[in-house]
Amino acid sequence: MSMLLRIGYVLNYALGLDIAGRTVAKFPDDEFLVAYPGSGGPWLRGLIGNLMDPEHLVTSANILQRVPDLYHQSRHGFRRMARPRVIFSHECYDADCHGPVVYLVRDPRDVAVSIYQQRRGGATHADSQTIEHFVSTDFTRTDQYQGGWAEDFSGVIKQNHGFVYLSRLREEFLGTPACWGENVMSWLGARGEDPERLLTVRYEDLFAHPEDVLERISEFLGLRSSVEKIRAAVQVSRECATAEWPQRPGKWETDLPASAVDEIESAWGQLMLFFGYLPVGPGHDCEAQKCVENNFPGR
Amino acid sequence: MFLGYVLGRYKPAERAIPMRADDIFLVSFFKSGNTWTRFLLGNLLNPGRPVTFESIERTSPDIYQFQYRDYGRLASPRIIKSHECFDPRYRRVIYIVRDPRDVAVSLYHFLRKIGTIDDTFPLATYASEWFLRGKGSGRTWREHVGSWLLNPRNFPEVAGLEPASRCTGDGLKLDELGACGHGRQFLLLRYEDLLSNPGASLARMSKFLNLDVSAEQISYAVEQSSASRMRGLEQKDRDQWFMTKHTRKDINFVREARAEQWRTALPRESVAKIESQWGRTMQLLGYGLAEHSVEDAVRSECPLPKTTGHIGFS
Repeated sequence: MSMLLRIGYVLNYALGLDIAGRTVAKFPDDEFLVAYPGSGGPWLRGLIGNLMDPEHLVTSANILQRVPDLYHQSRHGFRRMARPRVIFSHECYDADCHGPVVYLVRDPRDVAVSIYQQRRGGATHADSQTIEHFVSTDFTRTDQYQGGWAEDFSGVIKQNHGFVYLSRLREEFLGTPACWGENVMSWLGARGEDPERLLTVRYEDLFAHPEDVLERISEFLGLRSSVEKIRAAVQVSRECATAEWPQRPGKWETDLPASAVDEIESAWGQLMLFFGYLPVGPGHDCEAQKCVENNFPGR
Repeated sequence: MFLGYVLGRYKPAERAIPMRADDIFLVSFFKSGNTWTRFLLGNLLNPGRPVTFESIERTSPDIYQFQYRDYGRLASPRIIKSHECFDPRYRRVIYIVRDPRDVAVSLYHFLRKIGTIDDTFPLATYASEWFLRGKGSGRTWREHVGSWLLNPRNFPEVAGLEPASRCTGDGLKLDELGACGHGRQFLLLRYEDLLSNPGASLARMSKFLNLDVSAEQISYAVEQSSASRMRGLEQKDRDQWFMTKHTRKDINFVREARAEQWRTALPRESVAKIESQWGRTMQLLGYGLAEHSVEDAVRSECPLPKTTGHIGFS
């Protein structure tokens, strides 16, 4: 069977239809948008796509040509794109991304709610699974990667059913988003001291002040967008969003049971503190507060 | 090529290798003692069959060279050599780090050996225009180290978030470095500590791998993996081993194997540039700075984490 799968892959490869995945050939002038699953990635893709070309709106029909992701576009499709390309991914740190990377980070408690809802919507898993069960068995698990739950929930499998695609998944590799904490840490660890190549943006700031945050991103990516253009991009994205306008931050407060909240905070509380997701109490270090103020001025 | 793929006779792209949960990865940036560590472990695990450059790819395969089909045939736990940045699938990791000033010198000579640069290319230009930008290596030392050393406890020191050093408390201890959270087994080794006491470092690796070995076995493995012996083996196998096969023969792969070469080999301005860009991370690892640079300004406002000069493992 595995040989048949490999033959299938070879045929697909010859036709240029195989899914690109993390190992797609990258150019030095590529720019990247990276977000963990459930962190508002499609929203950011739409905003940036509309900012780059406000005359032609990003829709679900053209998003793969405008701001492609690694898990749906083929290698051939990537080769055909005009440069410089803006590429979206859920990946952990990738040293081959030589160009600037915008990293969108979101409160992991909201991420858990978002992924859980997407999974139920996609009906890729049994409806009987509770959110507590999801958080303890999947979300905070660390030994899963692309091909596991992270891929299932995002619907990649659904859209890429097929003999040839499975040959890559089973024996090969599309990518590794890992768990929320490791994804965040890998990027911040590798590029945190390199502000020219990594801009970390909080979902919550993008939600509260989209124009201001988009201006920072535009400057970082060298798009030189005017204030009017930025305002227009936000406006059209709001009106013609490919998906729904993103959820208000803090949905976890109503949708996430206390036990699941505890589990997430005990796994990544120290990270969450430095992103401003946990209150800085008297028992916490002074640098946490300074860190949030200095690194996320849009709050 | 296509037939090779179907038959499994191809080299998977870096990350595309099929993994097992008990795989052990020897990870480092380039020229940081990875090959030596492969020799040490290989000689410890196979005492009757001393490792050579001809056999090393079978005892601890290089992920960039091994063929897909052959990976499946190795017995568990496999020991795999890798230069990859953080990969969450690596569940058991021995990470070797080396002073970047020495890495710059060593990598410069390696790039001369493989013909990427010629003898007229100045070391100072290499250090400032190539090494610091990751040219010739595809990633920088800082990216590699930073991606592997971060965990929730040492955030934001390694991430470099401002203020990057703690204003309160005793600062970061060196054994707090390493992507050891999330159930990963992680052992951090400094090349310099391997050099100063290879037996102790090998004993730590043995303990990490749950190996029941005697002091004699460790001494034997260290002896069989000495720099002079490795140089001799390189001369013998240099036309067989892929790394040396099509390279200049007047430059050895196994060079001086000593610490602090940079003090005499690296121009002062190159040292200053490396320290000004990566000084904070170097200090976290116990590599003292020679040139006073931007670190002074940071130190005056917020004391940098204390370092002991040696990794503080008990």
